[in-house]
Amino acid sequence: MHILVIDDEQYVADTLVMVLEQSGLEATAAYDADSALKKAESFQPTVVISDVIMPGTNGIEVCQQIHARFPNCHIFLFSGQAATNDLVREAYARGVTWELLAKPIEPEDLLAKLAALPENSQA
Amino acid sequence: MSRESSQVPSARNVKFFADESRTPPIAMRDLFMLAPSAIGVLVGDALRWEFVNSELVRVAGRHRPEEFVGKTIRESLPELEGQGFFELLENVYLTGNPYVGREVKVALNRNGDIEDAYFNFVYQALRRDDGQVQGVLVNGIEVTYEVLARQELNRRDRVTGLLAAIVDSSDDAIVSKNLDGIITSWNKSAELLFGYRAEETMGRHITLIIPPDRRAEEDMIIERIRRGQRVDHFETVRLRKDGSRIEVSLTISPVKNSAGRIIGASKVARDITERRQVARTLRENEERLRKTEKLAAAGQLAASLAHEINNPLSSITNALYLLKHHSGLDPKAQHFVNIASTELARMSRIVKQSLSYYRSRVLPKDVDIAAAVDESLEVFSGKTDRGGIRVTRKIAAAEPVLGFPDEVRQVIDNLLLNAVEAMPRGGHLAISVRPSRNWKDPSVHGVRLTIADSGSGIPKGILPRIFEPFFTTKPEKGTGLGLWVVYALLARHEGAIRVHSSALPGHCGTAVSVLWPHAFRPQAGEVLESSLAA
Repeated sequence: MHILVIDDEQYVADTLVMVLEQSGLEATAAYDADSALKKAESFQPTVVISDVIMPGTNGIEVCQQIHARFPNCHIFLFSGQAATNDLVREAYARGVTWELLAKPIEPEDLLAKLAALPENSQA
Repeated sequence: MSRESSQVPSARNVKFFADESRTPPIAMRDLFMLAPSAIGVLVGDALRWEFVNSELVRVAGRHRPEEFVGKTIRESLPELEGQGFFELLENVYLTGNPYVGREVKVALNRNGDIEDAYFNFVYQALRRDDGQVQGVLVNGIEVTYEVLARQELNRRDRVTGLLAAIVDSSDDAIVSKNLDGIITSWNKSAELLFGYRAEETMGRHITLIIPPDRRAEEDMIIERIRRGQRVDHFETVRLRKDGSRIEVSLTISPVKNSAGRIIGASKVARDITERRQVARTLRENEERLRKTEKLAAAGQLAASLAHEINNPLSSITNALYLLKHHSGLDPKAQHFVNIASTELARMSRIVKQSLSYYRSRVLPKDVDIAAAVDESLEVFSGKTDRGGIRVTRKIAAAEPVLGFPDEVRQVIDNLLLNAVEAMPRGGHLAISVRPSRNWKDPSVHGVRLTIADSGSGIPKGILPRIFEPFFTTKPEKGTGLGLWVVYALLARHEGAIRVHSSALPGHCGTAVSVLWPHAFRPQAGEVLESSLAA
């Protein structure tokens, strides 16, 4: 399982990557849209966990581009504002079905969700 | 006042003049002189005074008989010119017909001032034996005082009548009482306002319309009236005949008699029940608005705070997780990490509750309240079992409601948690679910959930505050956000919440009822989502 963590808050991204690595998962962090897209090309993620509100290109747009490139990639949105955020509401209104995770998420809960993902994400 | 001619006994046979000397006997003169009426004798066609008594001198405002005797009437009383008396006297002299006047107004020059006076008088021809008129006897009594007094009385009657008419046609209830509190007048509006007819109240004590718990007011009012003070716009409550209470504004003024002594009070009462109700409704609406604004402001603050806090919370959560799994922590360090984790979890809960709008799904869907209640009870079964809480459920079949399942669950969880925490030493938790109508708008059908506990109850004083954010009676473990969130979530479902609570020993407990309508209008964004989903 290759997990790309995208968050403009470096500590959030880095600690999450460390939590995932500690459980034996392969993870890497990106702190903005451009580097996220570059990392995705080289890293070929099977799972993306992305913040929504970021300066410049927002997390949903980044994920859409990554999803277009890697259709089997499983995407989680990750936000401190969750459903109240307009970007998220619009995305769901357009038919986005990615699960929205509320910050902060207990590492155990996130790991459980990852473990429950279908096989095709486990590449 | 009126002048009239009438027959009076002819003086023809009266012997004023015993002989040609035309002088009455001395005794008669003395009699005339001391008579209480004004008497004078005019002789000849020039009408010259032959005799005047002292009363005539006095009422004419003169001082000595010499001002008359020997002078003509025109010379002695020039102010009468133009008043018609000279002509009347000349007419009596010429015709011999007497003249009788009653309350005739005469303008007399009394000590230099022209004064109006009123007289009853008789002008009577004096004849010789052969019937020839020789003079005129003038006999008058001044009745000025009587006439003026009657005029004043009439005027007062008219004023009083006018005042009475004004009082009776007033829209305000006007009541008067004496200093003993005995009712002395009662107008038509008072009849309408208090329900008593005037004849039922006259002579009775004013406490007739004062509620027993306000009797002390009457002492205060009478005390002020005795001191000559008014009581202005005093808002109080009075009793109607049917026993109902009305809110009135009273203005009470002392009533003085003509000598200026205070003899009672007049009370003007205005029904302000309606005004008070309008004011109350206004106040309530303002209160509600303030509450809503406060909630909205607090919600916004909480949302923006939550956003700012959630990122660092994420980092700390992860870091603590990593620390916990770090090898080589001694037991003491492990203990500290555990404390930090527990406290962090509590903090996250507060932030999440205040944000409270988190939804895993954005579209509302059918929610079976009874099923949701059962799920929640399952979650709480550990707490209720351990806490010695007996749970009874009464579930009536109900159609599902439209709602956000997570939010419905959060409402139920928060209410159950409150109920369980209200019974730290055990008790009875009664839950019912049934089809119902919204008590605020009976046209709205929905499902009502009632959660009742046998806990200590909510003191009356704090009941109005329980929906305020951060208001808690359990500072050691509560966030003060539970009911606030419940309130906000129900508002989004266009639902309703009602809390009944008693803190009376032996009857204490709290029952919270919430109603979810079968349908509600989703907000703007949600309409878009619904139509896209359809």
